[in-house]
Amino acid sequence: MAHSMNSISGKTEATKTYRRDIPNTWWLKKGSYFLFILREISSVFVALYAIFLLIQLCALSGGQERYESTAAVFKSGWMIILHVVIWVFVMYNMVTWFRISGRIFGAKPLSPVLVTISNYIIWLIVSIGIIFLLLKG
Amino acid sequence: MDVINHDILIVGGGGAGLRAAIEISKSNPSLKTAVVSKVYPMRSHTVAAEGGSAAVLKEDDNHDLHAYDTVKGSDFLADQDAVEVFVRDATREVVQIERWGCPWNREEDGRIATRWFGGMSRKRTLHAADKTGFHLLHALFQTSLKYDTLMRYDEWFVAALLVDEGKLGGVLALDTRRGVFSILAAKAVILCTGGVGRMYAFTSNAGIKTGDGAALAYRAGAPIKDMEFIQFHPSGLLRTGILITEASRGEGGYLYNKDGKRFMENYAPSKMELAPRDIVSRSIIEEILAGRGFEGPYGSYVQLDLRHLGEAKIMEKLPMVRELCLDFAGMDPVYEPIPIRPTMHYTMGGVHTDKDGKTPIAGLYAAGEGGCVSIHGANRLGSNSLTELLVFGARAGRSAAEYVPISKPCSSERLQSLAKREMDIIQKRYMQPGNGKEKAGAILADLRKTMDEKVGIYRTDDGLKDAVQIIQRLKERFTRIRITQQSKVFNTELTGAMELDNMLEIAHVIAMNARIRKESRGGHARKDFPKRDDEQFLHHSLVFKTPEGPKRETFPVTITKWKPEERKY
Amino acid sequence: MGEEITLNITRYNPDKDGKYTTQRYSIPYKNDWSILDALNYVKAELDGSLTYRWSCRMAVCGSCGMMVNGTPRLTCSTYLNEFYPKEITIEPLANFPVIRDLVVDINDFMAKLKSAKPWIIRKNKRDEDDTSKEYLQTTGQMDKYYQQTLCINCTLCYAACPVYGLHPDFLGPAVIALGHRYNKDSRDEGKADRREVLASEHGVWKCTVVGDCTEVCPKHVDPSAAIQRTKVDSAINWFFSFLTGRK
Repeated sequence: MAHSMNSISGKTEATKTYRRDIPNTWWLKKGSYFLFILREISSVFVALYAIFLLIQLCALSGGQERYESTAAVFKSGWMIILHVVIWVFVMYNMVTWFRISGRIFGAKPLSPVLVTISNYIIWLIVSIGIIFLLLKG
Repeated sequence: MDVINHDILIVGGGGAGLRAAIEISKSNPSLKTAVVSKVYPMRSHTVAAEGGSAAVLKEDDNHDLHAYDTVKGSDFLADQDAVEVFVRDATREVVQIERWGCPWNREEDGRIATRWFGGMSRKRTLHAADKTGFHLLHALFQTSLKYDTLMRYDEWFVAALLVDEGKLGGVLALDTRRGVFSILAAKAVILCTGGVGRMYAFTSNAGIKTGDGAALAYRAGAPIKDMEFIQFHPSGLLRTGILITEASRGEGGYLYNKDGKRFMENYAPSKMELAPRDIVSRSIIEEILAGRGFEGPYGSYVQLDLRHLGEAKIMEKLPMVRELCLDFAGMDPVYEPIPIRPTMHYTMGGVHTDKDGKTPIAGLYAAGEGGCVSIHGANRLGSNSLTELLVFGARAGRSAAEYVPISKPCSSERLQSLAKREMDIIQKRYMQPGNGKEKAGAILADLRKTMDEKVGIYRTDDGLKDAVQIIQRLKERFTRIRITQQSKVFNTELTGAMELDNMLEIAHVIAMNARIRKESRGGHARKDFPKRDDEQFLHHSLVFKTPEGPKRETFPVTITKWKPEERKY
Repeated sequence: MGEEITLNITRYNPDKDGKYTTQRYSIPYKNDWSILDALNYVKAELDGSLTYRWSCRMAVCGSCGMMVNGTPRLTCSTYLNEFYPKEITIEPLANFPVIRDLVVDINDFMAKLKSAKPWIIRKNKRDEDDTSKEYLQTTGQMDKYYQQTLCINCTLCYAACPVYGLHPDFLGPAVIALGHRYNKDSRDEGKADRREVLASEHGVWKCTVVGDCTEVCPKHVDPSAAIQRTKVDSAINWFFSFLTGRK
């Protein structure tokens, strides 16, 4: 069926474009998206650890008994498992953060690898320092 | 039909079109100016140009030298007064585009760097790595965004010029997105639509290079000039025809035949690989015809060797060449020689204009590859084209802006009746109700094969006679094409048919002109008339469309300083 | 009968039935064909109504971006042999409204491009059109912004960015990278003019560093790095303007 092009004046409405909806499961569709969401979630675990640390500090200042009852909770099986999970997420957070820092600050004359490795070195130094302090005490 | 009023329309959003648009918006912001392009401007074929843009910048150079190189390169067919204006404006234009952000390569002291290029007697080709056209186009496009008064009609296809008794009234254009035709009225129109590469099968040109501007002007009664002069670039990548820039030779690359010899020694002992393109292309074909070329599944070829330049130099000066070889030929030029063969590249001819882009139709202008001033004559030197876009884009823009206040607009009734006449033709020619038996794609394939084989680097009388007959048959087959798409939205079958129609129209003129010109000059090489004949053919070929068919006239070449001499390199 | 390969291509025609569907095409398999070659074959031989954009076929014009098996690719430089003998799914670029078949509406991107003021801005306007001599710029200075000049505006990064998909007001990777390109160009003095748009809530701060834009960029522009660096610049500028009370 032919139709005449010029019978349609220029006043027609814009053509119907098709908009594709983005499902709530969009982050499950691609590996890089899934890892991205994991990375974002890891910050929750970092925050959780910070809260746990604060709880233990408060318990410390609350006297011997208070501290020991708090410590008992933290020594329980499920707490240890939770802390392992937290540690994995914190490590993932750190690794991705160091990699991104390299990408951001690694412009010429620096390089991304140089910046990332510098981050690890600083982390290593600080970590050894803290362990040393803890063991000394 | 809807009418939208403008002062100036620029058809085509490539280097010339955008330069014209900026020039007008800069100096006359009150003029209602619009760029009408069948693609978004960043897609224009200027983006694919690689090597560079020539201009006199350095102390050891002067304008007369650049002009002489250009005139000699043109095999003395260029209009020398236009060339003199071109080289003078060029110096200013390349600095202007630098001011607008173009990232030219630099010398140690921060000044713009230059490189050697074919047929140039000085190192005067400015370059932005080997992506000069890309950087130029994006600098121009991004700068054009500065001007709020400059409008654009992106993805609108100009189907016809509306001319009322020798005076331009506007254009009939298709909004491809909605599938609706409108009248874009204007006092001046600048055609910046590029060349005709896609009528050849083996070409460096993008899919959009279909000679639209030449066909529009030709049908409107403006003459097209020197169409027979087609440039074949020596180094087209095997299989695809994708351009490997002349800069690869400018930076020191060598051409080898099957015997491992730098064969250019036999054809241009002084300039070697940096002789003008027509000479190098013919030399490669001669080598292949003599059996000294390589053979492969994709045909015959010679080798362009860059290995001796080293990876560092290639990455600094020719990074895109390496990318192209890796992505489209599956090889790395750092370690292997590149397989190349001459590819159709540039159209010296085009819409006949003067030095200011003016055509004989009042209000109609042209610039860029689609125009023919002529500064390239029978052969263009590499890196003169990007400069041409800037120089003549600006000149045409200024010229059109000066014309607008003294122009008299076309009446609305007259425009509507002109438009209706064009719509009736379009209706009849392209919108038949699916009764035709011919496939547009098949006609296009036949056209491309014919042009490659019979209107290529070497031409003969018999071949050209055949070509004209075949093209006439193709034109007749075209009247019976079958358009299957009846939808309005983004109908590429319709625009494809219009483009094919344009190519058939121009191909006929090219083949006809090539047959009439019984000499060899620049890019037009006749096996049966191998010598240049200044006595009989030192003139431009001007062709008008008449009801009886294309009518050829001669047009004198303007000679100011340089008498035609033997062209040896 | 030679080898064949199957393409599953999105079809959408608002003029016909307005249905968004997939159509299967079986075509001859050629080892050196790109997806674009395959589409051209379908259009020429099987179905003239198939609609898509293309032009240069050498990965420099940016026209031919489409989703190939779910990833944004330039179809002119993506080859059948990467997938053969498996089927290939070709869809229009994600996160853009579809006009017809494989053609999407990029006008949002075009408008955003202009908003970032991607041109050389000088305090003295006369500098911009002075053609007496060039600005001096060393190769070292050019290195600071050159990578971001390589953008061909193919918008694959927008198709890869989940933020743009979920929040279409996000300025997006290519536009921010282009703003960054001019900010870092030694000849430009317009950083402050671009700040409002780049540092807005729809600008750099909407980016959550997914990084897919950089992954899919065919020209290695690294828009993600450009965005994060612009964030750093923006934060430092805010900090100092906060301290000094100056903008």
